[in-house]
Amino acid sequence: MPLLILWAGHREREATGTSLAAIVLIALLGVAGHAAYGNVDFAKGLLIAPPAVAGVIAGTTLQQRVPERAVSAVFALLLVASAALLIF
Amino acid sequence: MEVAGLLTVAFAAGMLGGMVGVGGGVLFVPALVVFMDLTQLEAEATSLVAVVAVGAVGAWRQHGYDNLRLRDAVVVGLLSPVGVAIGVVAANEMSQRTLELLFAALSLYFAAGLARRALTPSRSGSASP
Repeated sequence: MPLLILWAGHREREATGTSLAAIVLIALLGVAGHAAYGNVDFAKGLLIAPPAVAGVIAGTTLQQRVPERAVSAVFALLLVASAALLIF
Repeated sequence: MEVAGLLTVAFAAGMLGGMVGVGGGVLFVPALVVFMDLTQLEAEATSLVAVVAVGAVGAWRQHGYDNLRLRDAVVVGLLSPVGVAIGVVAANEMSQRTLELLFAALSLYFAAGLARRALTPSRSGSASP
């Protein structure tokens, strides 16, 4: 998402939509690979999918109602938190 | 009780995914470990099932708002395995700590770029890299 904004000139909402579509391809490859080794518990994956889908519908709806710059700010905070976890 | 906690975290993960364009694995994985007693590897693998669903529905929703550039998504999606392959080689060539610090530095670099953008007054239609 930061790559799409900072290097590919996307606006915030475009970057999140495009990122989510790319994630489908990446995650499908990941599921196929892990399933080959028997590490995927499909029952539990399908248990968490419905509330997660409800969440993403709520999140995308809410996102249309906040300023685009706020999306950048939230992602910047997530990156700082992630960096802090890695460093400490 | 465990299931209720898992489903609540799953909803929050989906919401985060919709807001900032991530798959939600950062929340799915610990929730599956804590509430379902999966190992870290099983949780990472299993979370991808929900990540596929979050990505597909989120992208479909953003497409409805005219916020999807499908060609760029395919390019990123197909290039990512190359990045993963480079990461695997790098992980084997350097210490875990070096890798952590490099990834932290990269995260802070992108955070600074996004923060600068967030603090810049918005001008319609223009990106400011």
